[in-house]
Amino acid sequence: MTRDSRTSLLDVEDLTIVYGETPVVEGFSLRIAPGEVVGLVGESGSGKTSIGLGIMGLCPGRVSGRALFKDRDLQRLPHDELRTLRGDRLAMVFQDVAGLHPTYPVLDQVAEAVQVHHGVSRAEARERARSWLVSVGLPEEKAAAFPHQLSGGERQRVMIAMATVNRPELLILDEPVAFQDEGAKGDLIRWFRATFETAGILLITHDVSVALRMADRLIILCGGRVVEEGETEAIIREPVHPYTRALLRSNVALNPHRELIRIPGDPTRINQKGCPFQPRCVQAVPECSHARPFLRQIHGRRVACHRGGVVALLTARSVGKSFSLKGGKVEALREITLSIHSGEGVALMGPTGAGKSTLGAILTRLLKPDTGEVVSDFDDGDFRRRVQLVHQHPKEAISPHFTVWETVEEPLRIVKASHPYNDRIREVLREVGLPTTKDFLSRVAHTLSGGELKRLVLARALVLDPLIIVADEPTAGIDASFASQILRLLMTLQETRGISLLVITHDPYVAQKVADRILYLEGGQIKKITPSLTPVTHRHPAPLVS
Amino acid sequence: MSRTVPATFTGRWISSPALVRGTRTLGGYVLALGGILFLNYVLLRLLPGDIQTVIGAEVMTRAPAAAPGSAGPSSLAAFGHYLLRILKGEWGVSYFFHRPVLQVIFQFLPWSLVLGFLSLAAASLLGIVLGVEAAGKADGWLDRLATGGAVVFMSLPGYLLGILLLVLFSILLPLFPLSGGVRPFTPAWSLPFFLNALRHLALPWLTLTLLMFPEYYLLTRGGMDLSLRRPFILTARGKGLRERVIRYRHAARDTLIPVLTRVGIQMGHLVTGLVFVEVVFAYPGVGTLAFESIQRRDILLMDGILLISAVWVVLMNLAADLLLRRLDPRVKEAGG
Amino acid sequence: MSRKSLRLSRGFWWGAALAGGILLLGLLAPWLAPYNPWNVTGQPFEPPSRAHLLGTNDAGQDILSELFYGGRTSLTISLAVAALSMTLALFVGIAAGVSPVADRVLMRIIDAFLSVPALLIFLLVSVHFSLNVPRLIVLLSLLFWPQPARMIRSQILSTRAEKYVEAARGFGATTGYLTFRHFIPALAPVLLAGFLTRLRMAVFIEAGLAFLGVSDPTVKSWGTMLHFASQYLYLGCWANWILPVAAGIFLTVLGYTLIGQALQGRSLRGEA
Repeated sequence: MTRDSRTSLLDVEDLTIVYGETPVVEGFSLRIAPGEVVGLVGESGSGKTSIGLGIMGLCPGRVSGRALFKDRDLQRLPHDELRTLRGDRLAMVFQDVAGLHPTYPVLDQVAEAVQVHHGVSRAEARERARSWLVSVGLPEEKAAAFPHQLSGGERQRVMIAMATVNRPELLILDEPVAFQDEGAKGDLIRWFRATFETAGILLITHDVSVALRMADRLIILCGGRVVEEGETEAIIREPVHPYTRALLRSNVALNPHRELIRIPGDPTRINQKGCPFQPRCVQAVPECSHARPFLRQIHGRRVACHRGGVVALLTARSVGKSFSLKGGKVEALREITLSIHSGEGVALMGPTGAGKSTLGAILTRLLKPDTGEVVSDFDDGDFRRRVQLVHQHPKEAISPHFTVWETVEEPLRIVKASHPYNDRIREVLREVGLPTTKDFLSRVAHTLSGGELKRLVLARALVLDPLIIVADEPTAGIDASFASQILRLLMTLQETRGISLLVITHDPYVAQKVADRILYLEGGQIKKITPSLTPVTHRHPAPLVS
Repeated sequence: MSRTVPATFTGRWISSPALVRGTRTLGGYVLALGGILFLNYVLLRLLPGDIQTVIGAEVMTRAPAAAPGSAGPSSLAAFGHYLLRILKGEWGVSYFFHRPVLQVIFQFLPWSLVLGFLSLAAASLLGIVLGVEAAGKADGWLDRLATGGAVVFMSLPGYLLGILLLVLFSILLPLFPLSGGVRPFTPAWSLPFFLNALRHLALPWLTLTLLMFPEYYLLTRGGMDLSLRRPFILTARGKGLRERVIRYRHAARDTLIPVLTRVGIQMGHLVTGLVFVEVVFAYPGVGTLAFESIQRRDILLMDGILLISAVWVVLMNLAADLLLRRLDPRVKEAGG
Repeated sequence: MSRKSLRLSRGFWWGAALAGGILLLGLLAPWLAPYNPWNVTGQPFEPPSRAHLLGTNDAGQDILSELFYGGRTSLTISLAVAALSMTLALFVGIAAGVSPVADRVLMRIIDAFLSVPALLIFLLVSVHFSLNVPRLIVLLSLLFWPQPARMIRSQILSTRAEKYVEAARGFGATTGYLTFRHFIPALAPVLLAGFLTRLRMAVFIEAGLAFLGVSDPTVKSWGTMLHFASQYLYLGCWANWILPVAAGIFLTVLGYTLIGQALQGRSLRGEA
C-alpha cells in the first residue's frame, strides 16, 4: 500500500497452497520491487520452497490466490505463455543439486535454456552458456563435464547459471549457496547482488546468516504463515517474534560465542487454528491456541503475535538502593533500568562489590528497592513461583536438618501446591541428574557432596515451574569440569523449559556462553550492554576462510 | 569396485541389472563363443563314429594327424583343429543340401534378418513411444489400452499368436498368404517380387512385433514413472521447456538407457521367436531351416545355425554395450 | 493413489484366481476328464457333441480329456523348472554378489549362457537324446538360471551400495550377517518376479518344443496337442481343437503375468 503498484515487479496476494488436505502455506502476501532482495526465512518444512514453486507455477499442490508478475497474473496465464516466461523473465534456482540431467554435459543443459527462449543457433547458445558458466565461477574446462564429474558446489553453480543465463527480471533463489564453502558463499552473494542489481530477488533460505548478507527485507515464515516481516538490519538486531528470536539463536554464524539453543519442540507440530508457533512457544497464552494472530505494526515492522512479540517478564525501573553502614550511607545501586524477556539469557557482570548480588535480590523481590520498582508480566501472587533464586553457596541455603526430600518439598508446602508431590519431586531430581532412590531421598542434605548440593538447590528452584531463574555465581569456586556440567544443565533448562536466565557472574566467558545480552554493572550503575548475537559477517566483511 | 551403480539408481531393481552389466569386457564375449564352440564340439564327438562319417562330421572333429585312441593332448589338438576350421569358415557340408553349411545358411539368412530387424525396430519403437506417452497418466485411456495389450500379448507364446493370426487373417479373412516368403517363380529383385514378399512378411512381422513390444513398453513405462519424478524434471520445467521436450529429451533419455540394453539382451529371445514364427508361417528363414535340418538330422547344418545365432547374439550384445557407453557417461567411467 | 493400488491389487487377485484355478483343474484332471485321453473313444475329427464336448482329434481321442491331462504336464514342468532354476540362480547370484572373485568367473559363465539361444540348444540336444519329461525339466532349469542369477547379483550389488549396509559394515558386520540380514530380504521382489517369469517361459517353451515335435510325442501336453492340430488347420477343426489349447496356455500365463505386474507395480511405487 505504501509502494506504487507500478513499481512493483512481483505482487503476491493471499497465496495459499494445499497438499491433499493440509495447507502448507496460508494467506501469503509479498511485494518485490525491481532491485529489491527479499529474504524468505524459516525452518525446513515451513513452506518456503512451495511459495517459490507456487509463484513459478510449478507447485504440485493446489495453489490459490494471486501472483502478479508485472501486472500479469501468473496463476491465470495460459500454460504456454507462462512457460515462455519461465526460465527467461522469471527464473528459479532450485535447491536440489541433483536437478541436473545425468547424461548431458552441463554446458548443453545451460545452452538449452538459452535456445528455448532465444532463436539462436546451437553454437551461439553454447557460446553464451560457456561464458555465463565462467562468470558464475565454474572453471572453463569443466563446462563440458557431466554432472557426476562435478562437486556439489560446482553443480550448484551450474544450476545457478541455468536459471540466470537469460538475465531474468525476477529471480527466485532456493538455498542458492547451500553447497558452497564460506569464501565461495560471499563471492556468489556479491555476484548475485552485482549482476542482478535491477532485478527482483526472492531469496529462500533457512540460513539467517545468508539472508542477512543478501536481503534488504526479511520475511519470517513459520508453519506456512508469516510471523514477522521487516528490514533485515532491524530484525537481526532485535527480533520481536519469539519464533524469529529462536531462529536467530539457533544459527551458528550469528552466535560465535553463545551456546546454540535449538528451537524447542517438534517443528512438524503446527497449530492450524491459532498461532502456528503456539505449540512450541514458551510465552503462549490460551488465546494463542485458538485465535489466529494477524500482522500488525510493532517496532517499525510487522509482527503476527498475540503478545506483541517477546514479552518482558521482569522489568526494573529506575531502581536504587543504599545501605547504611557505620561510616554513613553507601549507595549500592543507582537508577537501574533493565528487563528480562521470556526465554532470554541475561548475564550480569561486574567486579566484586559492584552490586550484582544486591540487584539479584531486588529482582527476586527478596530485597525492596529504595527507589523505583520491579514489575512483572505475571500476577503478584504468582511472583514467588515464577521467579526463583539459586544461591551461590548451596550449603548456606539449605537447612542443616532437612533431608533431600524435605529440601525439595519445602517450596511446594509453602505455596500450598496441590498434592501429590512425589512425582514432581522425583521429576525435578531426575532433571538435574540426581538419584531418586528412597535411600538418597532420606539422606540429610548437608551430607551430600558440593556438586550434589548445587544440583539440589537447582532442583528446589525448579519444583515450582519458574519462568525466571536468577543464578548467583553458578560456577564460582568450582573446577572447570563441574562448572561445565552446571552450565550445560542451565542451558538445557533454558532450551527444554524455555526458562529465562539471569546469571550473575564475574566471569566474561561464562557470560558469553549463556547470555543473549550482557550487562556490565560498575559502581551501582549499568555501564554497558552488549548483545551476544553478533552477526559474524557484519564484523568481517571479508570471508573467514580465504 | 562394487559400486558401479550410481546411488540414485540403487533402488531400481528393474533397470539396475542393465546398468551393472554395462561393464562387460570383450573377454566375456570371446569366452561365451568359446563355450558354445566347445559344446558343439563335444556333442559332435558324442555321436557314434559311423554317423559322424555319414554326415561328414569326422572331417571337422578329428585332427588329421591324431593317433587313434589317444587321450588328452590329442583331444585338445582335435578341438584346436576344429576351432581352426570354424575360424577359417570351413563349417562342413550340409548332409541334405550337399553344399557347404555357410553357403546354405547365407541363402536363408537375409529373410530372417529382414523379418528380425523389422519386427525388432517396430516392437521397440512401439513399446518405447507408448511407454513415454502413457507414463505419468495413470488411468488414462492410453495407459489402460497399452498396459492391457501388453499383458495380453505377454501371455501368448509366439507360435500360438502366429496360429491365431493365421486363422484370423488367412483363413477367416483371406487377406494374407498362408505360408512362404514369396510366391514361387516370381522373378527375383523385381517390383512384384518385393510387393509379394512384403505381403508374405506382414503376418510374421506383426506376430513378432506384438510378441516383443510388451517388454519394451513395460520397461519404458516403469522407468518413465520414476524419471518423471526425478529432480531434473523440475529443473527442465523451470527452464520453460515444452512438455514434449521434457518427456522425450529429458525423462526418456534417462529411462531408455536400461531399455536399450534390454534390446541387446533380448536377442536370444528374438532368435527363439523367429524360429517359432518362421515355422508357423513356413517362412523361408534360418528358423525354418533349423527346424527342418533337425527333422532331416542334418547335424552339421544345425551346428552352423547354432553358431551363427550365437555370433549374432554376441554381436548385438556388444552393440548394445557400446550404445550404452555412448549414452550414459557414468557407465563409461565405471567400466574403466 | 489409493484407486491405483486398488486396481493393481485387483489384477493380483484375478491373476491368483486364474493361476490357482488352472492348477486345481490340472490336479483334478483324472476326476474331471470324461475319458482316458490315450484311449480311442470315437472317430477321428468328430465335431463337438454331447459325448465329446470338444470333439475328437486325428486319432479319435477325446480333446477335452487331452486338455485336462495336457495342462497337468505343462503345470508340472513349469513349476518344477521355475523352482529348480530359481534355486540355482539364488545360489549363483548370492555367490557372485558377495564375492568379487566368484563374481568375475560366474558372470563370464552367465554371459556365455545368455548368448546361446536356448531353443537351438534344445533342437540340437533333441537330435542326441529323446526329450522326456525329467530330461526336459533338467535341461530347462539348466538354461533358465542365468538371467535371474544376474538379476539377483545386481540386486545384491545395489543393496551393497546402500548406506544402511555401509553403516552395518561400520559396526563390523560380517558377510554372512549382511547376506542374511540385508541382502536376502531385499531379494524378495526379484525372486518373485524371476519365479513368475520362469513359470511363463517354461509353459511357453515346453509347449513350443512339443509343438515343433521335438519333445516326446507320446506325452499328453498342450504343446503336442498344438503340434497335431496345426497339421490340420485346413480342416477347420481349429475352433474346437486349437482354441481351447490356446485358451489354456493363454489363461495360465495371463494369471502369472497379472500377478507379476501387480507385484512389480507395487515395488515400483514403493521405491519412488
